[in-house]
Amino acid sequence: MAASRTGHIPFKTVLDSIADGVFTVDLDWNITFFNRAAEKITGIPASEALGRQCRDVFHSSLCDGSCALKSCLAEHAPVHHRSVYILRPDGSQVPISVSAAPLKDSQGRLVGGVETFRDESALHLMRRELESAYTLEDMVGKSQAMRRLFGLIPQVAESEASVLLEGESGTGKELAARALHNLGPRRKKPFIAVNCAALPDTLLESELFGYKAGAFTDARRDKPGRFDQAQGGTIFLDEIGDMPQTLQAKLLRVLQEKIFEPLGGVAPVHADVRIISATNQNLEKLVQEGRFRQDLFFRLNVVRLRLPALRERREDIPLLTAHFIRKFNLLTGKDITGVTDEVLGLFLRHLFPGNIRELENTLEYAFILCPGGLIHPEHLPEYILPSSSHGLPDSMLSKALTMDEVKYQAIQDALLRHDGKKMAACRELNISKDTLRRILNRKKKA
Amino acid sequence: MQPPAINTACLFTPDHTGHGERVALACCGGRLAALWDTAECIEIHVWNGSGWSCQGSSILTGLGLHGRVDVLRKMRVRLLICGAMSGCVRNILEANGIMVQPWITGSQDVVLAALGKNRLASLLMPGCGGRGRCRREGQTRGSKNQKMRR
Repeated sequence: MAASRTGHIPFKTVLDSIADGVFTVDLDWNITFFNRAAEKITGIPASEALGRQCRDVFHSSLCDGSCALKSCLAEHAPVHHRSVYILRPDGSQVPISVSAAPLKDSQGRLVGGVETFRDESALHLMRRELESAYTLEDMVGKSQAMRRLFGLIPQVAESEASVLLEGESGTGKELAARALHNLGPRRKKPFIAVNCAALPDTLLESELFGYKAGAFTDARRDKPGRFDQAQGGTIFLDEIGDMPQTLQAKLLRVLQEKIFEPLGGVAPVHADVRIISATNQNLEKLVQEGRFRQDLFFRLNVVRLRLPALRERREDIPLLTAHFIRKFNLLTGKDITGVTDEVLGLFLRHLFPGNIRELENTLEYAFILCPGGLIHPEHLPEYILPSSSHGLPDSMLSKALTMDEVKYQAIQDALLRHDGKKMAACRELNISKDTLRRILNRKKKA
Repeated sequence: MQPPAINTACLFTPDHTGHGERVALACCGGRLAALWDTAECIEIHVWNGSGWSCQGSSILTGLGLHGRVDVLRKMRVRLLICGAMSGCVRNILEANGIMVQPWITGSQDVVLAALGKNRLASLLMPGCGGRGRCRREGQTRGSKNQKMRR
């Protein structure tokens, strides 16, 4: 390549002077050229990169899957601006934009490929700074409810108090628990998550507290439990409402005395573990029904945080959509730029009973069908589309309604969701209390 | 400056893992995956004193970082050998009691043979030769120079 010339300047000099990384590979994926910017961005000197497999040098999120070079060589067509990340040998992650094209000799025969890439760290940093007000660890939101949580979590994280997280399935209770762990003094110790509903009662005890050899027929050697594994760190007990009563007593002892006994063990073990629990049930109601110990409830409920359902913070849907699109672009190597206004409208009208997890799954589905550009309604699962009855309540679909009736129905539904609490309904619908009262009165008069 | 995370001196040998301890290889398509983040599965191997025996595998596709950590914990993995890995991910794995040897390349057979002969250093990816480049938690690009200036 150095022998080729553009006027009097060798190609290598030209390529070394540009800010974009450039490298070429032969048909066996061995690197044959590596410019100066490529050295700088990847952190690997050309002397070590040349002759090595590109995957061993580039370490990009595409190398094990839809490699840009591989797909452009297979399809004999260039690939433009795929957003991916690479890992440098110092362990840092660098977001880049990749383009690739086939390399042909003077006879038009394929001899390899060329890839150019641009460091987008500055762009990402700028975006992150803009979004930092709307994120906390992996949690995203700018609604009032989320902003309040983002203010509370760092303060709660610093304390050693037990935390009870409440919220429907898919609202991000585990993310909140991880944020509490990562922002607290135990961040360098393990975070252990246990789903109390996922294991049969008989297994849950040995899973949580471990067992000693000989405790039962197949217990040939000691097995540490989750409390042991979490020593010094945090244990997250999800679906705590499903914990059997026998175990509730044992958990209470951990909370009160900071000790537990493995199955078959005689000596108590000290438990230096912070407990964060979560539930999508009404624990107070379970206490009243005698299905959950009151003393345990009080011990777990030192700090109670409620994760709002997605339908209560619809203003976060555009932000969350953009967040998941960025995530899936990095994971899949696609270049999806966003959703159409129509899709955003569908999302804003959908009730999302599965909350953020449902939105994430919907976008993951759309990424399978959408080749690039904007996500259109045809890329969405059928149940999100307007022909389906899942988005709106049956009462609003069964007959034509006037605008006043629609408003009245929306208020009735919101009141139903909030156990008749008018202020909560107002907050969800983003209307004042006066407006709510006026709409209700107008309907009564009619 | 912390000692380098990748260094021939801290590469693992069967003696580090001990008999019966479980070693996981993060794989993709018959070889070590280029990135831990994109590995499709882990293969579990155990050193029995004279050689390695495969103890099974587990799919990682579709799992996020924490799901992957859970798999390693459930499979009682002592040492993970994988391709490129970010410093943050490494810290999380080590906080969970899993030893990690990243930046290794090669097919499973080659990696296991090298591990058995204490020659894992020969399989380090380019640029990872252990000259103090690898960064630990808290350091950012340029922080080494900043510290030196201070």
